[in-house]
Amino acid sequence: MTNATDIAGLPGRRSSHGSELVLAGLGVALACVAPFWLNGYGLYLLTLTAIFAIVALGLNLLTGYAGQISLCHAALFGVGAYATALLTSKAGWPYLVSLPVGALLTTAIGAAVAVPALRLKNLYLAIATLGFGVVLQKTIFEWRSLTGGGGGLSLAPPTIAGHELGATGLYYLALAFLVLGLWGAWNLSRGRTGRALRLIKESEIAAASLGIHIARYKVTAFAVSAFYTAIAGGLFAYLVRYINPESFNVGLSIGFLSMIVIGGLGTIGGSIVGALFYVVVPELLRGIKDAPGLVFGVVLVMVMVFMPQGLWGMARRFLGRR
Amino acid sequence: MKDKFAEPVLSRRAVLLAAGATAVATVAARAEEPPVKVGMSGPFSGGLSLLGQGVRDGVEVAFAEINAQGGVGGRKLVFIAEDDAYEPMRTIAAARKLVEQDKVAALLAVTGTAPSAALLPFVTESKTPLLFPYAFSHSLTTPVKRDVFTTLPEVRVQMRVLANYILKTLKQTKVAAIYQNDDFGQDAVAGLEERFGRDKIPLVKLPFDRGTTNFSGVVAQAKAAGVEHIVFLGIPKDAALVMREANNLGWKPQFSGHNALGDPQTFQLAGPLAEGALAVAVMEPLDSDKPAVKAFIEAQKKYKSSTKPTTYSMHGYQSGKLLAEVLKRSGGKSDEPSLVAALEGMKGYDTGLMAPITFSPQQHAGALAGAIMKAEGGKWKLITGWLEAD
Repeated sequence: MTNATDIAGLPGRRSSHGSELVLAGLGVALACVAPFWLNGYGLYLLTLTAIFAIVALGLNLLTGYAGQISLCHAALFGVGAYATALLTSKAGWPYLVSLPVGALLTTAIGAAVAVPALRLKNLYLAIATLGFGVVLQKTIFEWRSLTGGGGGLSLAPPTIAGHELGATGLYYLALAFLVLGLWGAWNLSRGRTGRALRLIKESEIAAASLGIHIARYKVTAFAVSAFYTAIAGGLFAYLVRYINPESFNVGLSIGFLSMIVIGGLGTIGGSIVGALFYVVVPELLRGIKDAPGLVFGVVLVMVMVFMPQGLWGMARRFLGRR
Repeated sequence: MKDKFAEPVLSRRAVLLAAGATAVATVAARAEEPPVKVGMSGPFSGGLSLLGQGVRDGVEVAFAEINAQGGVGGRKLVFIAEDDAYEPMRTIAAARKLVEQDKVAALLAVTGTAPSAALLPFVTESKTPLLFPYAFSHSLTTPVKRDVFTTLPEVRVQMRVLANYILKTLKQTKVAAIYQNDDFGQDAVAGLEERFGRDKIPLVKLPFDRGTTNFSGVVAQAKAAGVEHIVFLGIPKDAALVMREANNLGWKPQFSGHNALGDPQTFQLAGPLAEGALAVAVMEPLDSDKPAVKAFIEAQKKYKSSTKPTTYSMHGYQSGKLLAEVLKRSGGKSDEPSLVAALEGMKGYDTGLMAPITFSPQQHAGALAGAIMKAEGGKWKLITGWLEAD
């Protein structure tokens, strides 16, 4: 499973970091000015992209780097959304406090998923997380007194220091979290943890023989991934301002997985490109009457056939880096 | 995508300009007045696509028919339908595209309870009329929202109509409700209980989980409780299973249910066991002899012969016709204040397809009435007129 992107991420190739930083800076600058020439529709899609990119970053650490497949990320996303929404709307906490606290709660749950994950691999892990996701989704559904059940929860716009956070404000907040998330993922993936996770993906036996504490790293990966996903969920709740348990289904979990596979497994840039693809392409295909889903499926197949390393891997090859 | 976000989304001038531009491009020189554009979001893909496509087909039939007769006051109707696969986040994207990019005057017949609920903040803030969604939820019109108008009676209203009929006309007092234990089912039972409670008559409540296929327990409990009437609140497939289960016990209680039971597929699923069952009708049955129903079926054959008339397309068709009526009353004006004013002035308007519709500034749920239909000879037949809920 060694591929070009993995090698590029190893410490020996530090020379390439300069240009990547320039690229990242350019991207952030572009994202900062985007609201000035977008209408509400465009801004909504861009905010959604930023939110999904945060999920993809977290999931990529777990799946792309550590090789652990999760089908419960939509449910974790939902728990993050509900935790933030309930802390804000029912407990009356400030949004900027309930967002990280809600995410920490979800992280504890993510770490709990990791316990069975220590014993399971591949498809078995996928099925176990699938079941766990259903349990979480059902819990939100059945816990009516707290969550409002299947009828969903309508939310008032969030406020920060007494000021109502409008669409543009929420976009910048999501962007700020995305930049923080990028910085975190960058550091994590390039350090000891990233190397350990990659080795666990290649061979757990080899990793263990090198003294890597597999259980600890797997739990770390699950927890960090859950934290990213829950922050994104808390942002999502206040972007859509209506959450219902049915939205956080397995279909969305598969959507998250497809984002990182399309973008590029085990790459940071791939997380962003994948999220952008997942949000924007179906919108571009709206013009095709009756068959946008079909066309989206065909595009997916083409990306996978012609760009097995994802869109990001393809972009890197064009930029001349093997 | 070039408009600044801060620009008022539905200024009359913007609508007219955009509509004018399209008129030149699409309707050519034939139309003297700019067309009225309305948009819809619904599930055209995924598990509920039959529902979304049905409603969409109905609106398209109505618009084709109205445009063939010259439109409303010389203005043609233009319809743009967007897929959301029943995902609220995509519904919002679709609605924003329709309102901010296509500059539609209103959202018509948005399909689905959760998608409609998700649109409430957006339509309120952008002042976009959300007209006649295919949804049965309480929150759309309670409390009243300036831009939201519904025609379909929510399930609580249906249950009050049914309970009235059971208690007053059938004079049955030993009644059990077998209901799907989710939001829909609990909402429905609350409606029944409210009416039964007023007469201090007990209601036996027997919940079941969505997705279960074994109803022997709840049916046996109902029989043991000595009831004579079972109100079933769930999908027709499960209703058929309950009817079979009762039949296996050699027991023949009266069955009834909400509008979903009153569907032709109940007969395919339950066969002769469905005979004699009652259901609340929110619209006329498809095989009704009423001229408005016949005209609808003819119109669908004429303008969209590849599709079949369904209860969904009937709702879409009626929504399209109602919009035309609203535009006629607003003098052809399609800006938000004119549309809302015209809607709020509608009193007892009869489309012939459902109970008369009345809106007022205090009441945006158009019909608080239903009728009772009975399964006879493999068809649903109305056996009462439109009954008010209270």
